[in-house]
Parts: sequence; C-alpha cells; structure tokens
Amino acid sequence: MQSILRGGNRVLISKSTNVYTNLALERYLAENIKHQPKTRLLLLWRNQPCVVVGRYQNPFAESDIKYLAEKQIDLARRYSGGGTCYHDLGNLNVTIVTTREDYNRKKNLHWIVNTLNEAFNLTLHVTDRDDIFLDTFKVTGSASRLERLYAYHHFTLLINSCLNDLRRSLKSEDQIKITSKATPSVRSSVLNLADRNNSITYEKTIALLIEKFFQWNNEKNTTNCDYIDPLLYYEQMKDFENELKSQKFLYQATPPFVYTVEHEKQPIEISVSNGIITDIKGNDSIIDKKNFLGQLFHAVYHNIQKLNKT
Amino acid sequence: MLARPVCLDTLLRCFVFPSSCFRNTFNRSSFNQFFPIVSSSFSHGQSIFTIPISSNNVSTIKFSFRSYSISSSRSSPVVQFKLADIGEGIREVEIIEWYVQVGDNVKQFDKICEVQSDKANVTIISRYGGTIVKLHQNISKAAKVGEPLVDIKLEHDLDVLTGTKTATIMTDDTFDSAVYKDSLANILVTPAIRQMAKELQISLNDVQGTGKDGRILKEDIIRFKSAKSTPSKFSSGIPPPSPTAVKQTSRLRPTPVPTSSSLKKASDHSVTKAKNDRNEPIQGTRKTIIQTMIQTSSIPHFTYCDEYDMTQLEKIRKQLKNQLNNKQKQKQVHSYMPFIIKACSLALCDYPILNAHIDSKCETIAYKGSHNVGIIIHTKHGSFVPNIKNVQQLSIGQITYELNRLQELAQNANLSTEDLTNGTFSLSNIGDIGGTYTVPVVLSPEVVIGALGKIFRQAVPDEDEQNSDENKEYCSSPIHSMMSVSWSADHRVIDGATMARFSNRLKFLLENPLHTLIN
Repeated sequence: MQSILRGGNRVLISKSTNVYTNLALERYLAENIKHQPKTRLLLLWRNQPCVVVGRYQNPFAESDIKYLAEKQIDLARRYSGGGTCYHDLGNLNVTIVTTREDYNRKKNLHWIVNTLNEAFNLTLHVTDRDDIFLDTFKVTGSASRLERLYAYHHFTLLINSCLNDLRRSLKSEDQIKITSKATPSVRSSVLNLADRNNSITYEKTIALLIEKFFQWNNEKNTTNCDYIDPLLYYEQMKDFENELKSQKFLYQATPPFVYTVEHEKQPIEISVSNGIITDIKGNDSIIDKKNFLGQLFHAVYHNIQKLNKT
Repeated sequence: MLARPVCLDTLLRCFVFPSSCFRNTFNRSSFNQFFPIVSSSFSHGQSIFTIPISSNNVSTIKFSFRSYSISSSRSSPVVQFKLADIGEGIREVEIIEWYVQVGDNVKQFDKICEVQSDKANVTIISRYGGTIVKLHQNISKAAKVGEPLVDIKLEHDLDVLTGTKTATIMTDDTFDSAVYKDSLANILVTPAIRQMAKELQISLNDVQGTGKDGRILKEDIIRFKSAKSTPSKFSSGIPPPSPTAVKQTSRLRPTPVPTSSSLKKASDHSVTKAKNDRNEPIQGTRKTIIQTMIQTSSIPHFTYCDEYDMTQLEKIRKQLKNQLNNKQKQKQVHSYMPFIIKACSLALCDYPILNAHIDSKCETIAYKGSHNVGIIIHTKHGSFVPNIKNVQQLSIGQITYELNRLQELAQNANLSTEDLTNGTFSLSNIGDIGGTYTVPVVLSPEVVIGALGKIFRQAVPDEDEQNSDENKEYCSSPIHSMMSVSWSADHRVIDGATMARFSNRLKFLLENPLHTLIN
C-alpha cells in the first residue's frame, strides 16, 4: 500500500472508467504522494461517457441536464477550475502532478505537442490559453490546481471521441437564462486526432506517452509504470469520492446565479445561492413562490422548466 | 562604542576604566551613560596587564519587536496580507471562495481563500497566525497582484518574518531556480525557515547557520537580510539614549551603578515631576547588534594594554601640518590614524596570525593575505566599521584618502556592503571621545581588535639617564605624549605572547616613525 505513494518519476494508468473514482484518485495521489522536486507523476485515465464541469461553473449553464439524465451520462464537478468537457472512452485524460514549485503548464503541453507531432506527423500547437489546437480545432483543454505543497495540471486529448454526443451534451439552452459570475466556458470547434491521422488509437497513444515521459524526465528507471486499480484504495479515497458524487458538491457548489424564466413575456427571476432558491421576483399569479423558496434548485428544476412558456 | 550592522560581525563593547593614576578628562558624554563604569586601580609604573573577560555576561533582557507597524497598536499588530505573485505572469485573479470569516482564528498555513485565474485554481494559505480582522475582497471580484486580501491581527509579536508582507503563494518556475536549488542541498534548515528564505529571496548557501550543527535559524536569516540592506536604509537611525535604555544596560552590570546619575535624579526629584517610562521597540541596526552581541559572548577574550610614546609622531605631524596649505590641512583631519594603520599593517606582516579569520566551529584558521583594516566610525546613524582594503599595498597618503572617503560615506550612511565586509583587523579610536583603557570586543570572525585611547601629556621618567645618584627627587622627567592602547584577542587562537610581541613591534614602529616611513 505504501509503495503507491512513493515519489519520483512515475506513470500510473487507472483501470477504472468511473469519473468520480478517477477524480478522487487524482486528488488522493496529488495530496498524499511525497512529491520530489524535479520529478513528475503522470496519471492516465479515461471515463465512460460523462460531462465534467469546472470547480466554479454552473452545470445548468454548461450542459443539457435533461439530456444527461436521459442518456445516463454522468455529471461531475472537478476540483480544478476551467471549463466543461465531455469525456468518453475516446478521450484520454492526462494529469501531471508535481511539487508546487515545479508547476509549469506550458512545459507539459509543449512536451505533448512535440511528442505527438513527431510520432504521428501532426501540426499541433499550444495556444495562449493553454489549449492545444490542430489548425483551428481544439483537441485539448487544460485546467490546474495549485496547493501549498503540490500542483497538478490535467488536460484532455480527443483521440476518437464521439463528437456528436459531445456537442449534444454540452449544448445548454439555459445558458442565456442564467446570469452569474460562474466561470463561463469558452467554446471551440473540436476535432479528433484520429480524424487527422487514422492510425492513432488510444492504446498507441498511451504507449507513446509512457515511453516519452521517462525520456522527458531523464529517468533511467523506466519500470516505474503501473496499472492502478482504484478500488483497492477505496477506503482511503472514499471521502473524496463521496464528495464528488454528492448532490451538494455537484449542484450546491455553484456560485450564486439568477435564473430567468419567461412566462408569456413576463420574466420571473429566481435567485439561487449555494444551490438554494433564495429569492423570486415576478408575477405572483404565475408562480407560487411558497413552493419554491428555500428549495434546492436542482430538485425543482423540472418544475421551473415547465413554467417556461413563450 | 556602538554597534555596526555588518553581517556576522559583533558588537564592540567597551568598558571604560577611569583611573586616578592618569590625568584623564573623563568625558561624561552621553556615550558613557550606556556603559557600566567599573572602578579599578592600576599600580603605578605598571603599564602592561591582561584582563580576562568572562563570557557569561549574557543578556537576560527579552527584546520583542515588531517588524511591521501598520497600526500603532503595541499590544498585537495587525498585518495586511497581500496577494502575492502566483507566477506565469498573472496580474489579476478572481476571488472564488473565502475559507475564513472576520473573527476566525487562523494558524500559519491555514487556507484563507481560493482564487482562480485562467483555469488555474490556487488555494491561498495564511502566512501568519492570528485573527481575521477584515476581508478586503468580495467573491467574484477581480483582485490584482499586490492588493490586500485580509487583515490579520497577529497572535504573537513577530520575530520571524522581515521584508515582504505578501501572501505565501510560492512563485513558479519563473522563480530564480538558483535560489531554489540551494534549498535542496544538504543545508540543515527546517521547512519553515526554508520557506522564509525563499520568500525573502535569500539563498540558504549564503547564510551562515549558528544553530546546532550549523543549522540555519530564523535569527541568521534576519541578520543576513538586514546586513544585505545597505546602512542607508536605516536612516531612522538608532534613537538617542533614553532613560529606559540606561535602565536596561544597568541590569547587565556586574557591579553597582555609580551614584552620580542617581544622585542627580534624587536631587531633582523635589523640583521636577517624575518622568514617565518609555518603551521602545528594538528595530533595525540595534536588533542586529543584539544578535551579534549574543553570538560574540562565546568568544574567550583576553585584553592586553600598553602605552605608546607618540612624541616623535607628534613632531612629524606638526611638521606636516605647517608645511601644508589650508586646503590640504582640512583633509588631514585624523593625521595620526593613517600612520597608525600603516604601522599596524607592517607589524601584521611579522605576525600574520593576527590577520586571520576563524570560523565559528573553530576548525580552521584562515590566514588572510590582504590587510583589510577596519576603522570604527561613529555617526548619528550609528557606528559602522568600514575597512580599508589592502593596506599593505597602500602608502600613508593613500590610506588618508581612503579614510576620508569612508568617513564621509559613513556620515551620510552611504557605505556599501563592499566597504563593510571582509575586514581582517579592526581599530577603534576612542581617544577621539575620551578614555584610556578599554576592553574592546573582537569582531567575529576576526581574531583581534585594538582600541586607541586618548593621547595625553605625561611626565615620564627618563630611563636613559644614568643617575647613579640615588636621589630620585631630582631625576629629570621630560613630558611625553602617551597614547594608551588596548588590544583584545580571541584566546582560542592568539596567545598572550603573540599579542605582546605584536604590540611591541607596533610600539617600536610608532615610537620610531622613520622605520614606518622607510617601509
């Protein structure tokens, strides 16, 4: 058990495809490993179809909650900031964990770009916002979290994801209805790497990254690569996992917002703070305020949607 | 004699011995109020004696000070905790969440808030322990780097952190990697000190540890930091002697206070109102002085005193004075000192061990090639000990020029670190102010220090006279100019014989100035 928390240049590949488990694993490793300076931990993982929103985002504004529920696509909120992304088995997640001082997003991204360009003959480039673009299409979005002793930078890599599902899931009609100071997503057109070079597969990519990772860190010991089954560490991780799964974290960690419903040209403004409806402004005849005030927004969401009539 | 803010050097502490044997105008300047007056008697005719100094004159006074003073509250200071540079060129962040509220108690490293910038979320942790007094930013507000985040009322008076008052978000790889690398080397230092050094942008390799096994302590960092700043920063200066300061030094004295000052107070009591006590926090130079003082108390000193006959030198000085025109005369203010400095250098050639450095662990004697003679200069900003480099190569004229240059710089508190460091041998001319014999304190890592007393005229029995006549009443006693000199040395390295021989050599060179000039 203890060996899983050792420091040094290492690669870990998660056997789980559960987004909550993987997010919990990521945080667990980041917080508990004794990170050594000038070394990196590479964590590779992928999830069953899910939508992951950033720490301070509003899931209602970022995704079609109804569609997600219908299709049983998981909704998760991660600990790092940034925007929303759609994960499925064609989307590789990469996390690089280092000490706080060694945190450097650009270095990580340039390494990826160089590795992939060289191996697969691509023309990827890194943008100002720390995304990776292939011409005008986005293939990678990144986010990071900095704590006192450690920092991690994670990003996605669209290898051969189902882009239709991606677009459908991330489409939100509520976006215009919501005013808040939550982090907005910057949307871009996306592209799979496999669309450009159809020899690229998930397996090839991780093999390539593992090999190049040790070279990048000048690490002679290339055996430090393991598959990790997070279920074995369930006890240690369960607090994180439970938090990630909880409705509280998912919905109530949203920054305060105002949701405007239009009922026959009459606007009703619903103020939500910490996931709870705190105020409703509007015509009393349309909406029975008593029923809604103090309720959890996501619980009464479908009722509110019903009010939406033009 | 006051202290000098030079890194790792110690305080010159002098005890003035007034002696009834010597006609000496005891100068009751304010300077003397600082120091204990111990009476002693010297037997007539004996001019050489050694006074061992016990090194357990440990100060038991607790000094607490504030390194910040935003508010003038003396009970516990309120510190403004600012948003520090996160790195990556980020100038502005958004406050996402507060982890504390007004009134909360925080410890060092507790979470204060979370900020977000460009998809990076950063948890900001507290640098201090205390109570949150005020939150400066609202959630979802944009905060610029350098703007205040919270006000914290500190629990304890700080003696840890000097310099920056910003939040401890450690900078990223744009941070000076050299400094970071040093902290990885095998330097004995606790994580808290490492962090402190990082924040103050100090390389731990440069700091000399004084703790166990050469461990670097908080005091070492503070001392290094304040020594790094040039003296011009301490422009506020050491405050003038106050009644409180006198009271404090009185506790150091091993013998009872002479009653002159207390008598004065008693007589005034009926006339004037009792003065209020005044507390003054120790700041700046004085804090360094205290630190170095405590360090130097571990060096076993011995003192060797003598009198040098300056008559010949006096004659030469008069000669030179008469020959110079007015303008040049102004420059030749301390015309004895350059000569003495040069003579010291010549004597050091014969006794190189006195021009050495000793490390704190006493493992190596580093014989220094160049004679960098330090001169203690008293200014209104405090006392400094700049040194003249490579005296062995300089002529007396060049030494004079250097001395004047350093004195001018010192008066304006403009001495550079270069001037203040790497001294190998120090001299103090207390004769300027008054006094004869003192027990100066060696300025570590040097091994010897000399204090030159006042030159006074004295009748000296003529030893040359072959007076077979036993009738001593009629022996001639020409008047000579005598200068009392006190040498203190580190007894671990220097023995009495070496010191005595050096002194004799110097004595010869000063009493026969032509020999100095020839060399």
